[in-house]
Amino acid sequence: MIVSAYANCSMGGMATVYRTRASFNPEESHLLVFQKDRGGRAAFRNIPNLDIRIVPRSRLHVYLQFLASTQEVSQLRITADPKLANAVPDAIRGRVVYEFHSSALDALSAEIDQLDFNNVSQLWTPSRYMKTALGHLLPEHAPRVSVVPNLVDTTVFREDGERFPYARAHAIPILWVGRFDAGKNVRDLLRAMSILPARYMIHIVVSLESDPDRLAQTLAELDAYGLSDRTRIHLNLSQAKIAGLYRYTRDSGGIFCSTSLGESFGYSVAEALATRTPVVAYDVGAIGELSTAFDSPYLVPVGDIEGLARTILLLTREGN
Amino acid sequence: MTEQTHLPATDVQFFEAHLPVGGERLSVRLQCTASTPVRERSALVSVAFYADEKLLPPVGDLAVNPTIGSYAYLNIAEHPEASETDVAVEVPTGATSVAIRGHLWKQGTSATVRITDVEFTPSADGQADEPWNIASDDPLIVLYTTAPPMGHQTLGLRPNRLAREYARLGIQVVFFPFSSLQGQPTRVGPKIVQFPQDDFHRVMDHLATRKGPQNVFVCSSFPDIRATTAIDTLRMSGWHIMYEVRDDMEEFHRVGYSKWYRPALERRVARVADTIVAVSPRLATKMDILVGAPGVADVIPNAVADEFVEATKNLRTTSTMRTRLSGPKVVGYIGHLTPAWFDWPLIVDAARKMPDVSFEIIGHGAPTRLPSLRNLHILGPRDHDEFVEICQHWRVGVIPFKPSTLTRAVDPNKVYEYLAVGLRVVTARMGAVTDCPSTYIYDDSVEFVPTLHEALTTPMHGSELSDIDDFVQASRWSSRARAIATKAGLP
Repeated sequence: MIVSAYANCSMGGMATVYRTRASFNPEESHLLVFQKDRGGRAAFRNIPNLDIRIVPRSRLHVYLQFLASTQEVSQLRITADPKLANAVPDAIRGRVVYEFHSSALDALSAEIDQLDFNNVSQLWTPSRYMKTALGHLLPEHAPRVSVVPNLVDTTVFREDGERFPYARAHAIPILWVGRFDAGKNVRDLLRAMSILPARYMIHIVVSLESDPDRLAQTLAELDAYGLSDRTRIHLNLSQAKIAGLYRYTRDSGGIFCSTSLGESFGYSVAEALATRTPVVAYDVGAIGELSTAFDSPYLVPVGDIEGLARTILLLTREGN
Repeated sequence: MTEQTHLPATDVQFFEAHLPVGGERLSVRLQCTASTPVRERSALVSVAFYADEKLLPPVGDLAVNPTIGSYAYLNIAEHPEASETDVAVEVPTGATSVAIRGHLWKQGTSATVRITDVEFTPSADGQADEPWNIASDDPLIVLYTTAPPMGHQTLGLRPNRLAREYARLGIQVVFFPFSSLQGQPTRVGPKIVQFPQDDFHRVMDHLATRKGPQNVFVCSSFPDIRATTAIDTLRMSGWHIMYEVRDDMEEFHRVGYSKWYRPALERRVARVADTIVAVSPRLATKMDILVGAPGVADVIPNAVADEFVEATKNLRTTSTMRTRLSGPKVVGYIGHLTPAWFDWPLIVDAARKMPDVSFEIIGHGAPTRLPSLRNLHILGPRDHDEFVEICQHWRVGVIPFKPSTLTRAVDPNKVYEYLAVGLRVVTARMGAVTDCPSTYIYDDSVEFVPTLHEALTTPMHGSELSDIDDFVQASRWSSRARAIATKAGLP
């Protein structure tokens, strides 16, 4: 049994990481141990070799102790929790994989400062970019870092399949997926769109947003750029709906746009490519490593809003 | 599934019960008796789930011990008393049986335990009654509201009442109350299902596959982040979007409630909605301004329950009204009594100035320190049947709300209830009261006593009763539901 420990059971990026790992390795048994239920249980339904438990932090150490004494735990994978890695029960020590998934170097530094590498047998990260970045941060006695790319759920994010919505768009859709935080940088998308013709329609897909102030701020910016009437904001869509939205964008002559300022992997870009939706993205983090047999993203220097707008024009039917 | 088990009590340390799994959540009630002096936290049961013979990883709902796994302490009482303990856990996926074993942790304790009840239920996040079984061409209204869940007999706000009427019109209804379901069932009628807020995205993700304007999303005074974004998604599938404005939520937010509210989100919802319905002219005007289009919002006021109209028809008669006007002068009020909006100084002052008039006040939330006046009677909370009995000797029903932006926007249900029981009404200016018959409106505290005096003493005019009856008959929730459904383009 492979046990993965992470703080929140949510619909966030780690849910996709865990789900696809289990789906693509049906012979392995996976147990996900979360500390808090943040509404993500649905993400893990209907995967026969995957089970989840919500175990409060205060019980976690003893829980792992009992688990190790009653189950064959082949690996304990821990993400973003150095304190848990430092305190793993003796019975599991030597089978601990510590995973780095954050693209924020200060967050990585903080994790590394706290981590006792004697408890960890392997270090994983999802991209070569991250391996290089970690190389500058890790102490000499740290285990070697392995690149274990995240997996795209190609049963969902595939070229064929239903669109969402089913009908093609009259306007040219520009799809953006992320959160309303500084790192995902929706503002540059809006600025690029403000200099494009009015025939473009923006679709913003956000997850895990609950703060009305962040949405209000985005709405204010849409008003300021005159984009309110040609923007749709979608919250917490299922993976199937997002995949349908990629295909809708592609079939309507649109494009996926990433304005993220840092990516340890770039899930939304990888998923867009898997559906054969054209992609334009800032050339940051691991985005440049992503490609399929058919496509790779068009990269624009980070912060080059004009270049972004120009590339959108070139790649969409409007520009052809 | 509920099973009553009648197994004999067993020494705790030898206690072991194996039960087949029959649901997604297990609740067990255990009874424990000590034959020695009681020592707290001395007796416990461990809970272990199995898939056939294979032990599954322990559940996280209970405390965990490195040797026995998940466990719960037993409440324990000294013989001949018995103490009960309820243990509830989520059943892991794939579990086929559960073993419950007793343990004693302290020397010198001797106790027996037995199971008295076992229940397996669907999961709390169960999918037992999914709304996507609704036929794709059935008319559907999704009501996203700040109202309480359906099913509670006394907590019925406008959305709850309208939901029932939509269902009677043959429209499928998916209802989202402000909170959890608070113990109410998911299915509350052949055409009404309700889901807690936490299920919103899951349910709407499925419903968003429905296409066309026979699907209506009603954002009922709840333009929060979920509604604002769900509307954008549903518009792509051609849904009809309606913003129903029941209250001035901006004012609630300003006085510390409705923390989810942001003006930018309400403006967005109002601007993208296909139709806007407001309960009062004040709120309709506000929407016109937010959208920048005069006349964009229609006023469809509150109403009164059809059953109430029928049950009170004997009170809208000439003889009842004559009896009232010739009897003692009694003024009444029913509703919440919070000083936040009930104008107590106004009522106390009127009672002092009108010693020949009795004031009977029904409701809860009255201030504890009210002056003791011979003609001011605080009757406390009463149900609707009691109200109908009591109000038969009232001559006027009052709505003495403090003047504020919030109360101005409200369309009080009680004006329709007062009229249904054949009462004249004296009210602060608010809602759609200017359209109501036999309703006397005051604009400030100086006007209250003379307005009340006028309502108490004016002789009944020829068509007064028929005007009231016509108005009440036209102010049923059923007619409001029809009007709203028509506005939304539903057949």
